[in-house]
Amino acid sequence: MLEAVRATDPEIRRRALERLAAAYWRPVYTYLRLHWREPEEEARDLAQGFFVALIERDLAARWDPSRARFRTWVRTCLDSFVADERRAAGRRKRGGGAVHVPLEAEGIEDELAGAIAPSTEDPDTFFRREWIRGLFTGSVRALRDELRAAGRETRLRLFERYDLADEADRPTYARLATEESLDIAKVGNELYAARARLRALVLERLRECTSDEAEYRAEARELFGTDEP
Amino acid sequence: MNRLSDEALAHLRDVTERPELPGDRYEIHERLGRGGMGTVWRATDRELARDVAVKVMTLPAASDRERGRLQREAHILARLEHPGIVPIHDIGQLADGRLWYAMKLVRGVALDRAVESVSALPARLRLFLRLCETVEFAHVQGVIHRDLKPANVMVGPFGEVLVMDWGVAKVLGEPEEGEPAAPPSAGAADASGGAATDGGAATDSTSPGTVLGTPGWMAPEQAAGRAHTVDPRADVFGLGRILHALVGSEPPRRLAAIVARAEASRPEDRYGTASELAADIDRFLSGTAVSAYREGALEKLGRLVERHRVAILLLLAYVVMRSLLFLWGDR
Repeated sequence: MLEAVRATDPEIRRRALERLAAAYWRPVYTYLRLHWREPEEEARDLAQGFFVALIERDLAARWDPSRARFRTWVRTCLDSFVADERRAAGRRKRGGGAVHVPLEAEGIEDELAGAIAPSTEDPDTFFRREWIRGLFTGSVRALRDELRAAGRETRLRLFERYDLADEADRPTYARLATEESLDIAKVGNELYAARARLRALVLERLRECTSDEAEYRAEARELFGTDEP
Repeated sequence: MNRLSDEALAHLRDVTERPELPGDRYEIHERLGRGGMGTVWRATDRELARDVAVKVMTLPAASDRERGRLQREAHILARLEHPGIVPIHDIGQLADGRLWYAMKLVRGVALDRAVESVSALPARLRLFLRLCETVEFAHVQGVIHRDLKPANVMVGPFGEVLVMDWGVAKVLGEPEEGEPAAPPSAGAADASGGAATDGGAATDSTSPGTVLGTPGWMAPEQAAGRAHTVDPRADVFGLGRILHALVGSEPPRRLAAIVARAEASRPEDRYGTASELAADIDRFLSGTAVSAYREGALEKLGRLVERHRVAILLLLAYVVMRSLLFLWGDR
């Protein structure tokens, strides 16, 4: 996808940017809400404007893969964009122009209720974590859709109860087995299958958001290979 | 859907990385460490009822070539049977394509941490001698480590010294990617296998121009991207850097000279082998002249006095006693 973002054909570039906006919408919006502390409407407006600017002003064509990862570049551009917008005397209402970026906004405010950005955190670390959260959130949604479509309700329930819970609320395998009338080995197998599929979905999304094999592998190593937030 | 909490996110990252080894021989426990290419887990080998370390690559190999590198790293470990090198037990592939291998679980601490509790210089140097022995053994087997640094040296509870992470090791005489076949260098007795890559600082390519190793610890010729042309003296440089870190900022002159020779910029100015370096350390410990330092007459006298201090003190005591007795007898 990132190759296409820098394509010379404007139509290919435009389609790639729309897909990119969909992939980055969540971390960008969360960053605006929590890091820049923009109100809901303003954040929505800024996010829309940012992606429109990426497309209409061809900002993405200026990205140099040899100097920064795309994620870092997006965050830097976003900071500049917000600063510029704040400097400007009145923000124009966006979204009604020639380009409309489909933003998956539904439910995100509920998700953000009570969430706060650590005041001392480096913006890049914060954006990176939100980007990872977005990657996993989208993948969990996709996994949920797949399991429902395949009639794997038990597997989905086990996954949600065990892997999406905070540690304090996480039941034991034995309890899950009793409550679901399964043996413990079956619980383990179902969870293993769900996790394996989730991993594959995360990696698929990661591949979409990276420019080449080297960046994909570097990001994957950071995603799975470090304790960094 | 609720926002994934930081805790749930960390859990998901953990469980999607946690390996499920085929069969039920190994039970995976906690993560022991992470490197550039993979993660090391503690595991129980149920068949042999012992704990082992399992190294799992972060991703499936991108190509047969990359797969070959990990296999070669395993083969390098398998061929280096030495008390200072971690033995490998098993190798395999996960259902999702990730490669793994099981090896001896080392219970110890990295050299830099281990020496915090070893303040005496001779004790530190004796640890270093054991490290030199292991590196020399590998060289004789035709293997160059290429990433020697304190973090890659473990010291066990009984003072055993183990050289870890052979991920960027090179087998002499075996061409690497992009490198023409070359005859084995001096000291290489055997050659088979190749280079594998791992470790935080290592890249996953060994083509000419690629920098392999860790900045600050690797030899200048390696840092210049000539990793495929290095010989055992690159490891001598790494040993020199480790020695430098062990002896502190103001070592005795003769020891400083040994350090300087080991970490000389030009390979031809260094010790030719790890055993030559070890021999000089041994000489330093026993108080004899070291090859790296030409001493003056006074320094030589001072060293001899230092070396034979006890005998000289006894002799002096004897002479003083005899003199006193002589004077006493005269009265």
